[in-house]
Amino acid sequence: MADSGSVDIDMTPMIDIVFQLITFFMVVINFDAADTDERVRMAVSELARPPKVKPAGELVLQMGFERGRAQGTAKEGPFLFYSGERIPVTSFETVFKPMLEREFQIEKIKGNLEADGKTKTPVVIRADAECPTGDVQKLIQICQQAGYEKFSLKAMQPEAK
Amino acid sequence: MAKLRNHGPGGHEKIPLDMTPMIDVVFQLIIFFMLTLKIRANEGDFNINMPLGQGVGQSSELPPIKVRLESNPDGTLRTIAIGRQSLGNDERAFALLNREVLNLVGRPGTAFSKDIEVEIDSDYELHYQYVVSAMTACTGKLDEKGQPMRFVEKIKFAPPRAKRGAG
Repeated sequence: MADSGSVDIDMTPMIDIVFQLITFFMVVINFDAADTDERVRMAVSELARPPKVKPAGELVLQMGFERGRAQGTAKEGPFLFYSGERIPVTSFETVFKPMLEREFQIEKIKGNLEADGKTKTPVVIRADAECPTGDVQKLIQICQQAGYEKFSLKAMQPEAK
Repeated sequence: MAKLRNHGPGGHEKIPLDMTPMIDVVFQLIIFFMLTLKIRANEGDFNINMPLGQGVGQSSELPPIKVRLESNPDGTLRTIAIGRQSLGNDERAFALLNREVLNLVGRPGTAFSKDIEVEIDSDYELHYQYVVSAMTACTGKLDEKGQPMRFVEKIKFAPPRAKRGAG
């Protein structure tokens, strides 16, 4: 079979394994930018379980800190990270509320409103474990004023021991 | 040009494939996926329903279980209190809170326990982690198999308190 000096190697098993590996990594990988936001280090709760039924639409709000590059350096914030902007708590009323009202208008155009003018779309709040609770409540209030009334507070499962 | 086909004596033909570029690309892919892979803990959520203008006790006939979380100025927990009873501020306090709520609920899973509502009243500065821990302690616990068992479905927040030093 082989020519002088060259050896035929059967590549089939290696390619099998390599494709298995690729498939595994493709399935496991998480491209969702929201889920991998390093600025939000979420609170841990042992009861946190992923929801069984994912709602059709949701509004995800991330609240976290801009931490220094090295761990343990001073952190700024908390900020709301929304559509590429960094909104401090003090300008929720002026900056974030109009954005949220626009979001609500889109809900209206899409026909997602109930008969009473409220939306069923839940607001998912991913807040950093070190955020002051008052700031999270302020965020909830602004959302209520815009017409949202279902909230989902996210927490992370503890690391497996 | 190189001869691509070797015709065997019986008309049997074998095509020599050059595997090198494919294997190059495939290894690149593997390395890319390996480097971008991030194993993360699962996320779960606590659902709360908070329509605007809903006052205390309006959503159900039963008065809510009131859980008060007081904070130190730096945002750490000072005490947890349920009703008027103070429970301390360490891990044990959350376990106590869990037991107290379970006592008040009675048997989990009954129609009565579905109506019970817990109201969390927290200081402005308190770190959110403690609120999540309190919500965890108020809503359920893990059973022997490590599966979560929820005994309170409804949580709400008391109106936010003023920031310390803001008047």
